[in-house]
This record gives sequence, structure tokens and C-alpha cells, in this order.
Amino acid sequence: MSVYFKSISRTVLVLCMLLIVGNAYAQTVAKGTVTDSNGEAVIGATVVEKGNPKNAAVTDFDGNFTIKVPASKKLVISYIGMVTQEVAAGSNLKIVLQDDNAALDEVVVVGYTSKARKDLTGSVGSVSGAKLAVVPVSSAAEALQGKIAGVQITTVDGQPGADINIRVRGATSVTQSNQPLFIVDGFQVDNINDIPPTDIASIDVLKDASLTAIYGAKGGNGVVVVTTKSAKTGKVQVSFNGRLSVSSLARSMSQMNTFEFVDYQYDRAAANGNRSSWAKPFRGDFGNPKDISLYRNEATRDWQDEVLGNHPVNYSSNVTIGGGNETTRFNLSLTQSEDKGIILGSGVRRTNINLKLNTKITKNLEFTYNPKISYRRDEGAGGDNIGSGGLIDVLRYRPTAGLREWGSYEEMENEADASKFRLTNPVNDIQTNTQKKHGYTITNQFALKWSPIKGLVLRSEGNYTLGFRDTERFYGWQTGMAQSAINNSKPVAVLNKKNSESYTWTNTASYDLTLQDKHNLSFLLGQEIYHSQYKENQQAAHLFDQNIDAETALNNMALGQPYAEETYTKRSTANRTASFFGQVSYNYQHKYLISGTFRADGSTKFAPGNQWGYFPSISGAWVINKEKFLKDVKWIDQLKLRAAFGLAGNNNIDDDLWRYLYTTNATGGPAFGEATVGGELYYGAPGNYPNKDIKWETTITRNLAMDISLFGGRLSITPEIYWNTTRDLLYKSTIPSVSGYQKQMQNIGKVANNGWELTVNGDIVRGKDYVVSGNFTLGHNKMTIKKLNASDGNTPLYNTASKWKSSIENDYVMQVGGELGLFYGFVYDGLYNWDEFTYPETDSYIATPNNKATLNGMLIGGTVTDGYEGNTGNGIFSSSNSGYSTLPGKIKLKDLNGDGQIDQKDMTVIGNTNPKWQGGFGLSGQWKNFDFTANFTYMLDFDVYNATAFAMSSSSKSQYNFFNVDSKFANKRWRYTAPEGFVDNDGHNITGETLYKNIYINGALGLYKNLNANASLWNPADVINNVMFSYFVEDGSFLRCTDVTVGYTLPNLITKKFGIEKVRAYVSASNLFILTSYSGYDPEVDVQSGLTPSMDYNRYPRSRTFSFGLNVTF
Amino acid sequence: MKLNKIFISGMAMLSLTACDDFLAVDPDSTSANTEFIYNNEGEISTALNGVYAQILSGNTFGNNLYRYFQLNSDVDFSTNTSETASGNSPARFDTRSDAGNIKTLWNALYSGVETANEFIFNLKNSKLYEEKMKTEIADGEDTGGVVTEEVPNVTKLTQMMGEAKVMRAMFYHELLSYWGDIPFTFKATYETNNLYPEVVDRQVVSDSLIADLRHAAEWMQSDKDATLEAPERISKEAAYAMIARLALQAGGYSLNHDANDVNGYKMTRPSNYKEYYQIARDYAKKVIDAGGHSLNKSFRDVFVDECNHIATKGDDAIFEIPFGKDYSGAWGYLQGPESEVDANNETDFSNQAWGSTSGKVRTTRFYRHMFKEGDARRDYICGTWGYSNQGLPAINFSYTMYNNKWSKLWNTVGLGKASTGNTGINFAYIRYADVLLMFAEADNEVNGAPTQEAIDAVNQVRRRAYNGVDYELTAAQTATKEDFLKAVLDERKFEFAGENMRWKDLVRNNLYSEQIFYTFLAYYGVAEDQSTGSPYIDMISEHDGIDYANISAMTNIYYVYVKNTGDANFPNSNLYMLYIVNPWTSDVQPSSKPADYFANLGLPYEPVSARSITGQTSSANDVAWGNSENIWSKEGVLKNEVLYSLFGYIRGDEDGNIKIVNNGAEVNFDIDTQNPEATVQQLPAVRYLLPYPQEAIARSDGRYKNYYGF
Repeated sequence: MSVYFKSISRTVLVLCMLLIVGNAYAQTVAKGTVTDSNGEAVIGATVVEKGNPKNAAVTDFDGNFTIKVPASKKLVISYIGMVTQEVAAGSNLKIVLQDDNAALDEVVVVGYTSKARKDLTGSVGSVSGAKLAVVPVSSAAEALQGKIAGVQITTVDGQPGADINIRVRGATSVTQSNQPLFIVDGFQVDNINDIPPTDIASIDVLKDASLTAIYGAKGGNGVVVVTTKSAKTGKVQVSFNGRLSVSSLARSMSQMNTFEFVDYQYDRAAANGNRSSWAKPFRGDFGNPKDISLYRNEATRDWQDEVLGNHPVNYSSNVTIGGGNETTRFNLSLTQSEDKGIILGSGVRRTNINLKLNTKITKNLEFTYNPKISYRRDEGAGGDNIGSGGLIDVLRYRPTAGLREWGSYEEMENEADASKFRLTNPVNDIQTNTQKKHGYTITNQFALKWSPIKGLVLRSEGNYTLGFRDTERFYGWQTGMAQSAINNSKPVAVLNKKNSESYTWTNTASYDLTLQDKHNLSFLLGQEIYHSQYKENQQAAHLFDQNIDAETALNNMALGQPYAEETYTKRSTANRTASFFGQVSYNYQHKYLISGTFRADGSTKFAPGNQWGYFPSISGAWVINKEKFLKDVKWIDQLKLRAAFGLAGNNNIDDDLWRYLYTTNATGGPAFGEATVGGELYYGAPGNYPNKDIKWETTITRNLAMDISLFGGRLSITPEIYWNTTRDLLYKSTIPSVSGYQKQMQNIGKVANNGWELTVNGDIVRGKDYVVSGNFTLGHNKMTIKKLNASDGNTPLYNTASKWKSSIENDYVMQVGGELGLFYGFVYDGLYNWDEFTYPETDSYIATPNNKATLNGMLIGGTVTDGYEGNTGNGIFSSSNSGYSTLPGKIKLKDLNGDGQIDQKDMTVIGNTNPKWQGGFGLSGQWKNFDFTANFTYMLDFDVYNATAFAMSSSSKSQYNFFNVDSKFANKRWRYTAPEGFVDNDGHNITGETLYKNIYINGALGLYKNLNANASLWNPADVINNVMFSYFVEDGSFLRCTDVTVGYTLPNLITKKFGIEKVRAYVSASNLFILTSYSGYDPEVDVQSGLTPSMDYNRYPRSRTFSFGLNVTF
Repeated sequence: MKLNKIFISGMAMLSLTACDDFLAVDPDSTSANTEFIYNNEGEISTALNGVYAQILSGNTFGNNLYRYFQLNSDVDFSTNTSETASGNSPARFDTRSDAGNIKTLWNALYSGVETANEFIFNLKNSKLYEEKMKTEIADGEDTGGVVTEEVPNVTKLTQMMGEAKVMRAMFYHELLSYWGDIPFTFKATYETNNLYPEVVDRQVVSDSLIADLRHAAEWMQSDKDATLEAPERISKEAAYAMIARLALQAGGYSLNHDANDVNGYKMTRPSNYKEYYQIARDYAKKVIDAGGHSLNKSFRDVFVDECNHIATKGDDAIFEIPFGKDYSGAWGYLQGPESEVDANNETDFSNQAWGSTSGKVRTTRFYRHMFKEGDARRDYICGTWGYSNQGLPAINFSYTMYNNKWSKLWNTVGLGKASTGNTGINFAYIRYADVLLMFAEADNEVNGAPTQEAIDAVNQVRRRAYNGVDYELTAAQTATKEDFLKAVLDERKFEFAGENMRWKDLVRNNLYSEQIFYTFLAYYGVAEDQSTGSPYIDMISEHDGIDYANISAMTNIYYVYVKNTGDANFPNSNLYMLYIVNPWTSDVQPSSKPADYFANLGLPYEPVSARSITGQTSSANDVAWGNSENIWSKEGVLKNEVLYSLFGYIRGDEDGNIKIVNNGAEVNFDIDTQNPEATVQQLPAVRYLLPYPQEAIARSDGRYKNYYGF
């Protein structure tokens, strides 16, 4: 530290001391020295008289302090980042403050009880509230990103309030939800998306079965335990947290400008052999191609910017009031936040009111009551639904209004026909295609705790949650919904109400005892029931006046006509679980630890007889540093070896899959007497053939780990290895269709997850008034599918993503020995080059492949895309406008089996979506009153299918759709027509002439070849079907700076004058940058989620946010 | 500790006793269970609707069977240009076990079977059914066709049982037609939990189906019963007709494999085939004797009424599949004139209230020429023009002709501009005309010679076809059993275009390979004749009774657009019609004054004012016949449509060879034009059957196996 700083500090310090002295009144004088565990003096530690915060002192440069206190009073010594201590006042005090990080006695909530971390035999990852508090994030889950090894947190996309996927140690199940169990303050909840981060005291993630088994089935994917802040006894404390932020689009896509676009559209229109039918709409919209240069002066409308280029200002504010006395404590928190999305008209607004009330009715009877009310409003239909065709249609929308507004087809004779041109744009589309969701959740939690004798705790707790959700959806007349025949291009309005209720009731008895001061025993027995059910009610109207606005329609549904097909009510089958569980833990002098758990769960998801699953686990630990041979090694704080083995279950499947239930179908039945439009009601077969025999999916986890803590807690290292196997995998299997059904839920297959994790925390530098600490996590998981489908053996199974799929639809492959999430498709092999063809003059210079087989290679067998036409529609690019699919300049796919045909037999695995390495690291530090944090997450070596780029490199089947494409196609694409100013061999300007097969221009073939000499990309006109091929498989590896925050806490002594305990102001940037070679908006799309991960299409792009915030505590 | 124990054991007891109740949850409203449905007559009817929904499906009778699986013959025809096997073109006998469309059909038919089995099983076990009818009805499945002696007590429930059984037979009938021997069961999957029913010989399947229906039919309502929504519901007469159809198929020829040879196949019929013909005769007779049906409406009106969603009792239709408008059925979308509507360019033509049609279900190019003059069916069925997306007639007169029996354009109010499929136009699955002709065919076989009763039956059909004028069969046509059979089959040929009948008629009478050979040769010969002259012209003309040389000699066709001022053959009076001036008779250019020309011909003529129509007659120059390069051929190489539309049985190549497929091998085929009969003798059987889908075999645990060289 420089002399300069020292002198300033000294001056400030002297001033401060003068102030204190001025306020103090003389009694006993307490003196002492404060040091840290290394014996270094702690400068600036606060020494306060207990119960009288006004009487305080700070330590000087040598760690000394002097304070006058009444004789019997105690002193409280605190310093940021260290454990607060209380001592009796004395004249020569030696106080050693322990570092907070090394808090081995910290209590962790694990399975209905809490335990000291030192006594844990399982694997827990934790993040303290203090760490969460300094970073402004809008949800708890977001704050966890990259902080715990083996816990992977990804948001679905960048939409405000988007769902967050949390995976603990890879996906255990192939098909079912892999979401962990969430426990908030001991109560189970569905998700933690709506917990204000400012309310959180700590988050613990329980990773192995020895800890999760007590939760049985629900814990199979890990358990995330959130503890919210509770009030402390003492005076009422009020704190305020405010944040103001601005976000913007983090990356953007390149698109053609007006001239490039019109030039390309002409190329596309004229590339077609039948010029008249394609060039006519082009002329109608853009005028005479000879006048194309006019477009050089036309403005380019950047729809991406108009729709996504907003800089919404968001805020979040939270007020917490807490306090209480010896018998009753309360904590009330009110949070209001608004997160507007960068997409026009989207955003989330949240209001949360949480109350925690705790009272001791008698000496050993304690009652807790936590009511919570949360309100959430979501606006915007999401990346899929904005405008008329999702985000992609914004990107593809023509950058020019062109002549279309004024142009006319021959048949257009009156003004009303102008509407046929769909004079619209993405901004207008968003305004006429709206979705608003309102959700209210009311949670009541109570607990009664009775400790009749020492060590015995009987606890009964209940949780009753009511949810009300309204969705108001309006489809403007140009949306796909309105364009269907039945809606006749008229708006549709849908109101959906969903009411849900759920309750949990848990009764536990725990008993702790210590024998001979050495044998520590604890027992737990418990029972639990859980129930959830919902009722849904949807009302819809259609055939509104075409120009009605969303609000009017939704408020006056009677203006439309009842839309019977979309109107329904339903009530779900109750989903219930009944459970019994018990646990015995024993340790000998906290040195040898062993713990056993057993849980039985009964679920209504299975048929009687298969309802119960039994999940035992056992784990042990050996605290090596307590052995004699290490006792004297001072630099080792903890050396613990842990091992665990356990079973966990999964029943995350739909209700009623075990019994035969008919589906009610309002339309499509027989129309006897021709009276009933749409046909009569009928009972149809269940979608899946019920299976009486389905039972619990079970995961066996095996875990071995070390907890190492060194140098007085300055460095802690936790390496872990695990090997998990999931058997009786619940998988919707294909069954022989002769049975009349095609799918059935079956317990089939086996999946193994092997991996290791490493967590390192440490103080990199530490001085008297500064500290810099870092944390680092690294995880590696490898999944292997061991067994898939009983009757299939090795037959691969294919999956298709819902957002984007190829026309073959086998876009992902699952195979025994493989992993989940493997892309399956063709291998891109550049373009067909000029020399692979001959151009016989006798045949109008038609390109004839040298190898005949190539010509046959255009077809892909398989899917029938049009039910009526018999149009197999399966040419890879066969319907392209310019002739055979195999021509110079067209995309060439590798003929892997060498049979001369490009068909499904040439498909192979072209990408792996599973990151090989993932984790995060962070730096945080303090210097005097400044604090800073920076967090990074990374995922390495995984693939993403950039379907957005595919869409931006392709065109439409229809000559009336003029889609914009990536600007790289402006100069690099294969051209069919002569560009502006192109001169033929005779010196004539032949702008706009199609050169291929042109027998009217002398030497057209040579000109055509020259024109495309440097073409490195295909013409997007040639791609009109979705095809999965390797060109668009991109490496998604990234390093993201999730946040950087710098805060400043006003000196205590100054704020106190205003009656304020603490004031901290900070600035922060989230998603500041991302290092990646991925070319789309963001590579983090559905990473490892479900069967069809990492398909980047119509995703809400992530934004970059800058915030300013204030934390005030009174 | 004591307290602890008390607390825990108390808690445990409390929850244990409550536990089973707690976990017993009933589904509330999302779906209905068996117990609820089958204890309530109204709900049972709703469940029966579920079986009907299966026959309405686009994967079965709503579209697929009449579109992709209407195998090519001399009547129904779809062209194909691929010179290589695609595996998914059943119409040209080019199928492979991994083809998607075969799997789709298989799945849909078995899904239908299961839905019916499930319904029948549950109804049989319903308390309602048991209480009321336990003593009156026995399970018909195992009676071996013995009809109970007692007088049936027909109730709503027995009627519904019968309906389900007929629909089950409909699915199995198609499975038998396309696959021969099939996995077969009357048991619901949920009853047995057996996912792999055994493959059963087609004769056994037919026996079971016939026995089942013979029994069930007696407990069904006659369609004369006013409370039955016939013809949209299955009546007793429909069940009888279905028995006749099943029996006729069972007694007829079909493609069979040799037990020891997985590749070989030949056409055979059961040795006791006459018993089946007897059943067919008897049950067709029962329908006729019931007297509830006649052929009073004109041929045209039968179909035009269907297109207008009018179902008539007591006329031709015995059972119409009750499609629902906007929700099911592609009838009148697949058939009739093509009408293009470009969804992206909704050109608003006030006269275009009909939406788009595909017009893909067509007849051969030559079908029209096979009719005798005076047959009113000809000009109604055979369509030569469609509509462009401008709403104007466009001649489409290439290798096939539109089948104008059904069209949504015939609907007087129109189905809406945006409409596509899902026309809701009913399809008469069983017609009285079919019953009459089945009777004639079976009776002829049983008696070995035409009886007067059989002749009358055929004449009844012909009277309607010829509008009562000069309709009776000639003496030559009724001279022998063989002559009469030909007359009956010819009548079926003209009556049932587009109804997926012709190829089955030919298979049943072992005439399929002969007819496919001649159909191929007709296309081939005409094309070749146009290009270089063909040696086959006389041979095919002789066989089909058509002057093919005249067809190939035509060079230009002249036509004109006119408003429809009452041409009954073209039921839509709002759309423009296209009159062909010189239909197949002359290539003389008409007068330059079209009005005069038309006046001379006595044709209505009113020039269209739209600018794209000049009022001049136009010549279809892309339908120019006889040029060196024309639609049939290109400089000596015949067009792919000619060469490959019957690919899996017979095909040509670019070098002028004709090849035939025999037991999977492609061999050059020599045609002796001087001795056609000897040539026909050389023909192998057509492999018209489909392979079991790959997936069905893969998942059968070795139970199923493909024969016929698949």
C-alpha cells in the first residue's frame, strides 16, 4: 500500500476517532488488539458495545482499539468478510477474527434438518447470500450460474423471465424432466424463478443421493435449497435495495441492404426457367429490373433494429423490514421489479410480498407462518410468436418498402384489393399479435415445532399454494392462426384461465444425542403427503372485424363469434405422492461419520401395485485431519474424504399413463345427417397405449470426494468423482402398430453419467484492508446410453425439435453407446463446381453431370409432406427454381455410402451438443469501502445448430415471399443473372439477363462461368426445404462475462449520522461480453435440455444490461 | 423417548390407513374411463362415433386409400416419371417395406381395427348389454357362421354392435386386399395385452369376418327404419352387402406365396371358392329382396347430391361415409377438375367461392373412349379441364383425365375461398349398383350361366346409365358364362371409376396382369405411334375396342371458353366451361369467326370479356399430337410417364425395350403382335400386394415375415 493512501487513511481515522470520543461517556475503558488468523492486524474493524450501536470504535493501523463501555457489557467485533465475535469487555483483549470462508461450522439445510457442514457426508455446493447480494440479477437461479461445480444453469433464451434450466450432474433421465427439487425455507416449491434475489440468505445444492435420498423421488435430479433472510432479534431493521438498468441487444445479425436485397430478389425471380410467373410478382413489387440502380438511393429499413434495438429502462426495488423480540420475530419484504425485453412490447413485471413470522408460543413450542403473495405479468408472445412468423420473420423481412405499396397486379382493380398485399411490417405485426399473462400465486406456509425434551424435535409443517393465471392472447388477422380457413383471415382472441392448487403436509420427528462426548447420534423419522391439481378454462372468439385492436377484442369477446373448437374446460387428475422416510446418522468425535437414509414414495402416476418406490442410501466420511498424524499440521484446516451411494427415483411423467382413458374430441367425428358442422363428439383412443406396469425410474448414484481446506481457510479445494446409473428409464417407446397404438410409456433403457468436478475457492491476496478472492469450478460429464428399447436392440431412435425441423425430421439420433443430443444430418461438401459438368451445345448448354449418378442423387426418400398431393417434397433442394438440384453452384452433400444417391443413407452424426467442459469462475474483492465482483461462465466444446442462419441462407417456395438473407450472400453467392453493368463479349450491357442456358447471348456460358468464378456460397434461392447439414453446425464454445460489479459502501461513521447503518451504491454490467466463435445471437440455447437441445431458432436474443443500484439499511 | 414413540407410531398409523385412499385418484374431466362410458347408452353412442372417426381419417377412407393406394388399371391411373424404384409408389407396384406411406396406411388400418375391437369388447362386457341381451345374443365370433334360429330382438345396442363390426370388417377388408395374409385378431389389445397378433391365412380371416357379420347383421336395423340415419349409418343392408363383398373377395383369385419360397408368387383361389360365391349371391340377394333401394336418381345426381351434402335414403347409396364439412374427407378435393389457388396471392375472384382442389385422382387418358355412345356416365365422369389460379379454365389433357364424379366445385354454395381438403363430401362406400352387379357376378359363377335374374340386375344399372334408352344387354353379351362375366365386369368398369374397385375386380377374376399389360401397351403404342409408328396399335385397338390410331393422329385441339348456360354434365353453372371444338375427331382448324362456327355446331357461345380471353378459339399447342417432340415422346425417346407409370410390373426404357418384372427379376419381354393370346399366356402375376412395413417386422420379435420377394 502506498504511503499516499496510508496518510489519507490516517487522517480520516483520526477524524473518526475524534467524533466517537466526542459522543462517548466515560465508564470502563476496554482496550485490545484485533488480528486475523494469521496474526496480521485487522485495520478498520468495528467494535461496538452490544445493544448500543451508537457506542462504537474502529481499530487503527496496528489493530488496536479503545472504547468506553459499562462494566458488564459485551463488545461485538466485526469486519467484512470475517466472522463477527462477541467478547466481554476487558483491558487487554486479544481478538482473532476468523475468515468467513472457512466457516466450517456453518449450518447447511439438508433434508428436513440442518447440519453443520463439517458433519456432512454428502456433496453440497453452496453460495452465500452475501455473494448473491452484490450482483444485480433478476432471479436467484441466474445468480447461481457458474458458481457451483457440476451444477449447470442455463436460461432457455434471453426473454425476460425465461425459464431456467438447472441440471445437477448432467441429465439423469433421457426423456423426463431433469429439473431438480426446489426447497425454499424447508418448503417444496415448483421453481425459484420468482424469488427476489435480495431476499436470499443462502442457496445450497445437494448433489448426491446420500443427501437427496431423503427427498425420495423428487430429489432424483438434485435438490436446490434456498434459505431466505430472517429477521434477527433486536431493533427493527429496514433495508432498501434499488436498481435501475438499461439493456440492449448484445449481438446482431447482418442482413442485406436495400440494393443488395432487390438485386438478390431479382436473381432469384429470374433464375427460374419460367420467368413470367416469378418475375411478375417481382416487377409488381420492385419495378423494372433494368431500373434496379434506383435502389442504391433507397433507404434500408433495419427491422432488426426497429424491433430489437430498443434500450428499455428497467427497475427493481425492494424494501425489507425485520425485527422482533425474544419470542416473536418478523421479516417483511416487498419487491417490485420490471424487466422489459429488448423485443418491442415484451417484458415481465413482478410484485412479491413475503412475510416471515416466527413466534415462540411456549418455551418449547414454536410457530412459523410465512404467507407469500406474488404477482407476475408477462407481455409479449416470445421469440416464436412475435410478428406473424416469429423472430425469424423480423430478420427476413424486406428492408425496403419498395414499390409494393404502389405497385399493382393486373387483377387489382380497386383499392380494397390493396389489403391483399398485406401492407404490414414486423412492428405492426407485433402490435396486432399480443399476449399478456397475469399470474398470482398465494402461498401459505406454516410450521409447528415442539421440543418436549432435549434433543427431540417434533415438527409438523404444511404448505398450501393457490395459483391463478390468466393468459390473454390476441392473434391479428395476418397471423398464421387467423389465416386458417376456419378463421377466414379475421382476428382471434383467446382467454385462458388456469387455477391450480397444491399442498404438502410433512410431519417429522428428530432426535439428537451425544454419548460420552464422543458418539454423536441423530435420528429422523417422517411422513409427507403432496397433492397438486389444476383447472383450466379457455374461452375463444374469432371472426372479429379485421381491424379490431387487441384490447377491444379481449375486452369484448362478444364482438366476435364463439370459437367452439378452442373453447374448453378441463380439470387435471390429481397428482399425489405419499411418503415415509427415516434417517440415522452417527459420528465418532466428528471424525468418522456415517449416515443412512431410507425413503418410500407412493405416486399416483403409477398403477396400484407399482405405486411405491423405495430409495435407500448410505454415506460416510473420514475427517483425516483430525487423526493424530495430521493434527499438528497447521496449514491444513480440513481434509475430509467422503463416499456416498444411494438410490433416487423419478416419476416426472404425465398423469394417467397407466390406465385406459378415452380422449374427448369435439371435432372430426361423423357428421350424421350432415347436421353437425365438424362432426359429432367422439371418444378416441388414448394417445399412448396405457401401461399398467410402469414403475419408478431409479438412479443409482455413487460419489467419492475430498473436502480440502488449507491455510486458515484461505484455500479450499473440493474434487469429486461420480458415477451415476439410471435404470428403468421411463421412455415413450414405439410399440408394434398392429396393436392399434404406436407409443407406450415403458421402463426401458439405461443411462450412465460419469464425471468429475472441481471447486476451488481461495483468497488470492489479502492485506490489512483489502482482499481479493476467487472461485473456480470445472465440471466434466459424460453420458452413455446403455440400453434403449427392448424390442429394438440397436435400432437408433430419432428426434425432432419443435422449433425447427428438417423435412426428413430425423435431426437428432439416440443410439446405444452414444449420447443424447447428437445432431444427425448430411455432411456439407462445398458447392458443385463447374468442372463436374459438361455443357453440350446440342442441348442448349444444359449442364450435364459427368457422372450420371450425381444427377440421380437429388432425391431423398422418406417423408410425405403433403397429404393430398402425393408430393413427396423430399428433394433436398429439388424444387429450386433453377433446374436440377445438382448443377454447378448448388450445395453438394457428401455421398457417404458412395451409391451415387444422396439419401437418408448418407446421414451421419454431424454434431454433439454436450459441452465437454463447463463451469465458471469469479473474482471478488474489497479494498476499504470498495467492493467488486466479476463472474464468468464457460462451456467448451459443444455444437449448436444455427437454424436461424439456415433461414437467413434460404428462400421461400413461393414467388410472393421476398425474404431477406445474410449480407454475406450479397457478393459471395452464386449468381444466375448478370449484375448491374455486366457487359457481354460484344460490349452490350446485359444487366439482368439470366446467363445459364442462355442461347441468345453469344458466349453466355463463358460469361456465366466468369460471373461465378469467385462464388463461394450458394444462391439462397436454391434452398427452400429445411435440411440438416453440417454447414450450420457451429462450435458453441463460449466464455461469458456474466457480470461485473463495482460497489462502494459509505463509511459507517458518516452514514450513522443520518441514522443509516449501511449505504452501498454500485454499478454493474451483466452479459458484458461473450467470447465465442458462434455466429448467431448466442450459443446458449437449450443446452442439454430435453432430447432436442441446442437448436437455435426463433430464440429471444440475450441482452446486455447496465445497472446502477443502491442498498440501504436503516 | 416414550413420547417420541407414541407420536411416531400414532403418526404412522394415521397416515398408513389413509394412504391407499389418498393415492386413489380418479380422473376428473380430462378424459373418460371405460366404466363411465359403457354404462350409459348415450356415451356408448359417442364411443361408437370414435370408431366412425377411424373410417373418416385421411389415412384411411378419407384420402389415402383412394389417392395413393388406388392401384393403376385401365380405369384409375396416376402417372409416374421416376425411372428408378422409389419404394413408395404402390399405384405402379413399386413398394418397399421401409416406405413411409405403407407404414402410415398399415398403422391407420390397425388403429381402426383396435378401436373397433375395443368398442366391441367393452360393449359386450357392459352391464347394460349383459342385462338386457345376455340371453338373446351370443358372441358371434366363434359360431363359424351359424346364424341363430331365434328371432332377433334388435335394440339400439345390438345395432351399434353391428355398426362397429361392419367397420372392423371394412378395415380388415382393406388389409386383406393389400397384404393378403395378415396379423388378425378380434380381441382388443387391452383385453389380451398381446401386442403381436399372429399372422392368419386370408381364408381364415375372411371366414371369421363373414361369420361375425352374418351373425351381427341379424341384430341390426334395416335402413327402411326411419329412426336409423341411413345411409350415413351402417344398416342391416349395408352389413349384408359387406358380407357379399367379403365373400366375393374370399372366393376370388389373389396373389399367394409359396410356403417354402419367400420370393415366389402366383395367383390362386381357394378350392371351395364356389361356397363363397354362393354366400355372396345370397347376401346380395337379401339386399335386393329387402326392397329398400332403387336406382331412381340419375347417375349424375347421385354424386352431385353428395357434393351438395345431401344424403338420400332408399336410392343408390346404402352406406355413405359420413364426413363432416371442414373437418374430414378429401372427396371432391382429390377428384374433379383441378383448381389452383395460390395461398400467397389470394386473388379475389368473385366467382371463386370454391377454394382449391388437387384433382389428382384421375382416370387413364383412354378411359373416355371405352364408353359406348349414349352412356351418360362418359361426359359426366371424364373431365378435360381444370382451373388456373385466375379462376379460368385451363385445358389439362395429358396422360390422364380428371375424374369429375365428385368435385367441391359442384357444391352450389361453395366451400369457401380458403378451403382445401376436408370437404365433408360423403363417399358412398356401398352402393346398390354394386350390390346388383355383385349379385350378377356371383350368380353367374354359381349357376355356370347367366340367369334372367342376373341379367335383370345388370340391366337395372344400365338403365340408369343410358337414361332408359336402349340400355339392355345384347344377346351376345349374355350368351355364355364368360360373355356375361365380361359384361358384368365392363359395367363395373364404367360404374365405379375412382371408387378403388377396378383393380380388385381384375385381381378377383385373375385378369390383372393381362389388363395391366394392355394398359401399358396402350400408352406405349400411342406414344410410339406418334413418334415413329408403332406395331402395337392394332393389337391394343382390338383388345380395347378403341381406334388408338385416331388418337395418336391428332395434332391440335381447338377449344373455347364459354359460360355454362346449362350443360348438365358440368354441374357448376357459375364457372366458365371449356368447350372442345374438335374432340378427337378432326384436326381441321375451325372458322376464324368462332361465333359462326359454334352456331353451326349448335353450341352455346358467349365470349368471355376478361382480357386474357380474346374470344378466339385457342389451340392447345402443348397438346400437339404427332410432332417430333410432344407430350408423348421426345425425339424417339418416349416420355417417362409412358415408360414408368407401371414400373413395378412392366416398363420401357430409353432404348426401346419393353421389360417385365417376374419374381423380382427384370426381363426383356417379347410381344408377338400376331398372337396376342400367346403373349398374354407368358405374363407373370402382378405383385400388387404390399410388404409389411419394415417397422412392423422389426418390432414383431420375429413373428412377421415378408414374402413375395420383399
